[in-house]
Amino acid sequence: MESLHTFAIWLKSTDASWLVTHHGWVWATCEALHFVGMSILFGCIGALDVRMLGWWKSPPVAGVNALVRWGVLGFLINLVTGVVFFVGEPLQYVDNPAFRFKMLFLVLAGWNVLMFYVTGVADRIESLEPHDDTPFSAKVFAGTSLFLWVGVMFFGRMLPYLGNSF
Amino acid sequence: MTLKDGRMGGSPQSQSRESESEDAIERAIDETIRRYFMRHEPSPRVYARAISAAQQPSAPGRDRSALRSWIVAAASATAALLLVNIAIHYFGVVAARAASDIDGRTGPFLLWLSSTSLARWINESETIFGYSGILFLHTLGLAMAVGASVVVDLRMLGAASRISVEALLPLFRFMWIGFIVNALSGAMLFAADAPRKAANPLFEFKLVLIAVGIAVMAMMERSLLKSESGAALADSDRRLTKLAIASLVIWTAAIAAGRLVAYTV
Repeated sequence: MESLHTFAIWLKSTDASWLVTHHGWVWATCEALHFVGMSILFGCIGALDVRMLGWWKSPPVAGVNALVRWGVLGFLINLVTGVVFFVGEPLQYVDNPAFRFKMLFLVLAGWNVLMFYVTGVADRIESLEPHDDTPFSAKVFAGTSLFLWVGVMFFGRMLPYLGNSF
Repeated sequence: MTLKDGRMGGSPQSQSRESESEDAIERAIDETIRRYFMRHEPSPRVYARAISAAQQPSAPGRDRSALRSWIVAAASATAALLLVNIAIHYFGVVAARAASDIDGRTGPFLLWLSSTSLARWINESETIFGYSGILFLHTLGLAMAVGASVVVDLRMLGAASRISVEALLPLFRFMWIGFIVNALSGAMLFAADAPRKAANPLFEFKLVLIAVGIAVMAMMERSLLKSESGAALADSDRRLTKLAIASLVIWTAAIAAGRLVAYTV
């Protein structure tokens, strides 16, 4: 924890950090992009989740799977803009309980995605045609994914309220 | 004589041309099926293009439309972001000026709204059901409404082409649920801070963008409903592409404006 603080203080002293906080438009643009990326991520990954849960059965699973790469694009947008926020104001995040929960949920969501592919569930459902029901294991992965991403969103939104971020 | 010649010579000639183009269509179908099984995901548009190319082999440059719409979409989104950012400085100045003389401009309705017990409870509640929880619901609704729109738009621009266009219709339900959640949570957030929000021109700009964005999505939904009931989608395809680009640009701008409301008030 001590080294994390030292790192945050060093980060705050860098030119990059100064750049983020001394130009109002950088923070505002990244905020807008962070929400755009969130919508892309949530839309594309959520689409696969609701297909697996059976709430949107009309497309084939392989078709919805093609949206995952766009979800990854949304995630990358949010990773880059998120790093910009952290570089700009590292001290308002390192001690923030909401930020720690957000990171925890993010790691769990990543683990869920990894397991989805590693356990072969993704391959097993790839050939399902429109209106086919998915196996129970796929529904568990989909429900977990929705819960974890909504959790990431919740703790992101709570950054200023549980902690001190803006 | 010439007329007869033409008729006599023309008939078998046009017949052979017909069978030739039929062969070409057969070949295009075979090729499409082959690519389907190789999981190259030919979209209905690629399929239609292959057939139309076989029918009129002399039409050049037809397959550039997809690339062009991508370039237009990316450029428009970038332009929207830049424009909104230029607008920040302008709106920021106007908003600061407006905020400085709120008292003089606040009407009786806004004053009443901000004095209701609901507004005071939203502001003063320390629990998750107060301001922060409503703000979270507003974010969740945004992700649902814009997320569903993004999926529809991406499909219209050629991504995930194995989803049939008709299969997109149930997604609009998620979009409308998200929109209703945001209309309700947005109304509560407005009530909590009515005079200042109403004085912020960026807030009005955001509301206009949302109205246009919802109208665009409603137009898309209507086109899809029409195509499902039997009308050919090919005619409206270009219109749907344009609506998809408009939707992406408008939602991006609406999100940017919404975020900036939080920074200029």
